[in-house]
This record gives sequence, C-alpha cells and structure tokens, in this order.
Amino acid sequence: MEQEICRIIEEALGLEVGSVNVNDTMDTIEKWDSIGFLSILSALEQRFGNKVASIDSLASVKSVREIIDVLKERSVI
Amino acid sequence: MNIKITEIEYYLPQKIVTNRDLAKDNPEWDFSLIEAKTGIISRHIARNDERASDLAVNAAERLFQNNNIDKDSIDALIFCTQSPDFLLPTTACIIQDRLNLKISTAAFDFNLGCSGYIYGLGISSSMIKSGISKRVLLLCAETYSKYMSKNDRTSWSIFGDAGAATIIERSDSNKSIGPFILRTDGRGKDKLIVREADCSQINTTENPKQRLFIDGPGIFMFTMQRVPECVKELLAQTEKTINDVDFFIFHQASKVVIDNIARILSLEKSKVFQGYEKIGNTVSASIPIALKQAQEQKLIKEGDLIMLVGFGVGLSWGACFVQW
Repeated sequence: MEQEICRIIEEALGLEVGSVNVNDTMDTIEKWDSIGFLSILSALEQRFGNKVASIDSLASVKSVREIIDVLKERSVI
Repeated sequence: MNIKITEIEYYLPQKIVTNRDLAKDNPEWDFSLIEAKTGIISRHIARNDERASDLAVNAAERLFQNNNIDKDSIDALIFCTQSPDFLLPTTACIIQDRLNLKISTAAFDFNLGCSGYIYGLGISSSMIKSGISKRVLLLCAETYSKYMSKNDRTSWSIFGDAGAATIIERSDSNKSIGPFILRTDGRGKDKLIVREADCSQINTTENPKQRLFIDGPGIFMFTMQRVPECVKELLAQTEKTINDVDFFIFHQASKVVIDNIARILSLEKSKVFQGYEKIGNTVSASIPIALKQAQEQKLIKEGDLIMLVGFGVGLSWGACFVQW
C-alpha cells in the first residue's frame, strides 16, 4: 500500500513512475507546492472515496510518510 | 410572501492578466500543471487607482441602464466586500452618494468572502419580508489582487477582481429565494487571512502582514467536507433529492474544487456551472456572475430550481434555493 501511495503522488504531480519514495518530503519533491498539494489530496480523495475529505490533519502533512501514517491511523489503508 | 432576484449585472476591470503574462514575470511557475488544476487561464485585475467601490458602482450603473431601473425605487443598498475603500466610513455610504441614490436608502457593508452572496440574499430577503425594504440593491465586489504578494503563485493563479449587482424584491409569481443554510467555523480563520491592512495604503512588498495568506490544502479539505454536507442538509430540510434540482451554481473557486464537489455528490456535469476560465475566483461576486452567465448561455430557464452554494474565508459557508 505504501508503494501505491507513492504512485498516486507521482501521477498527481505528473512525475515519472518510481521517482517518489516513502522518505520523500515537500522539500525533496519540487512540484509538491500548494497547487501540487491540491492535486495529491484530490487524487487521494478519488482513490479512497470520501473517507479522505474528513481528515483535516491531511492538509498539514509535509512528507509521504506522514500521509501514510495519517491514512493508517484513520484506517483508510 | 415570495422574494425574487429581478436582475443581475456585473463588471470586470479592463486589465486582463493571463497565465502567459504571469509566466513572463515568473519563469519558474509551471502553468501546465497549474492550469490543469485551476482551469483558469486569465483574470481581470483592478488598476492601482481602481477600488472595489468602482467595480460595484460600474456594475450597478450597468444594471440600471440595461434594465431601465429607476434609481429612486431602490430603498436599500447592501455591499458585500473584504476590500472596502477605507476602514471607515462604510463603503456603502460612498456608493450611495456616487450612484445618487435617495437619502431614504438604507446602506451598509458586510464583510464576508465567498459565502457573501448567499448571506446577502438572506439579508435582503429578511429585510423585504420584515417590511424594512421593498427593493434591495445587493452589491458584491472584491479587489483581492491588492492584497496579493507579487511572488504568491497560488493566489495569482486563482483570484480575479470583479463587481456584481443584483436587484432583489417581492415576487408576485412562483419565483422565489430560500430557504437558507448558513454555517460558520471560525477555527479555520487562519486558512485564508490578511493579518493587517489599511485599505487605502496597501503595500504587500514592505509589509508582509498586509499580504493575503491562503492555506490551499486546508481550504480544499474544508470544502470537500462541508460543501457536500451543506448540499445534503438543504435537500433534507426541503425534502428534495438531487434529481429535483435543475442546476447547481457553486462558488467558482477553481476547477479542482468544483470537479471534486460534483464527483462526491455524483452530480451530472451538465447540471453544474463552471465559468472560472477567463475570470478566475472572484470571491463574493462569483455566484452572481455565474448566475448571469448561466442565464446568458441558456443553461437555466424560467421555473428552474437552482441551488446556490458559497464557501470560503472565515471559514463560512451557505446554500439556498432560487426558483428562477
């Protein structure tokens, strides 16, 4: 599932497959800025249905690991 | 007693700023990704000496001229803005004078952003139903561009300046406005904020506190959560289903926001207005502009049941029905 999250982020930001890993952060992924973040959230919403919309803390994550942890904590993945 | 929207007109500043213009000044901004998400390719921006009151006055003058409206029939002027001319006096008073409306006109401002039009319709309806007013001129105008720092890619990608004017009055037909859902969550105040501003002396270069700050992801999550809830709440309150609604006009925030709302609510694309491409997100003016454009494009017709939904800064949101 962690790899799937990486693929969702790559697709949302228009990056090459395999270019994102679980250790990446907003600082290491150039396209993960405010607009890019909307793309990521929108992609997660589409993939996991409407469960993601109610997770406010997802709007303040700063790394791939944090996304995974929040989704796990809320039993989305 | 039914209340109706009689006429709507709007005014856009003459200066147009395209994404290409922005890219010239900011070569590092990648508009291929931005455009795909915002759906916005250009926006109108007020001149340095052009204020929200100018946009509102132009919209109102256009409304009077195009619809042959007697100014003396207006007995209330309500101005929704977050970019007033001055901290005081109330900009509505300045507009009352510039429009040469009679002294017996009630005039006041209220400060709301993207939910402002819904609130404005609610206030207007209440004033008419209570007998305080008979014919209300509701003006919504914003110049957020004056708060935007030159290097703020997110804000420049999204917002545009505009003014809109609406006449609201008693209806003797089936045309109506309401009921309303009005909601607030001030815990989100920091998600879209200008911390300090003297509206006549904005200088975002020297004073960072005068810059607009937007937490895009935070606003997005709020929208995805609250807007579908709000739509369902209004449907439940009126014992209607999505299929009973002929057309939906959401605040024109951006493509990614409206696409996702429509997806979550399983709305048919043909029933959802999308009109941000050439004007951007015009804050409280966006819904009246969208209503007018939907009318011009014949997307709505007399008798249609339309749901209007506004949401944003505050955090504040609301919805209402309009029987067109």
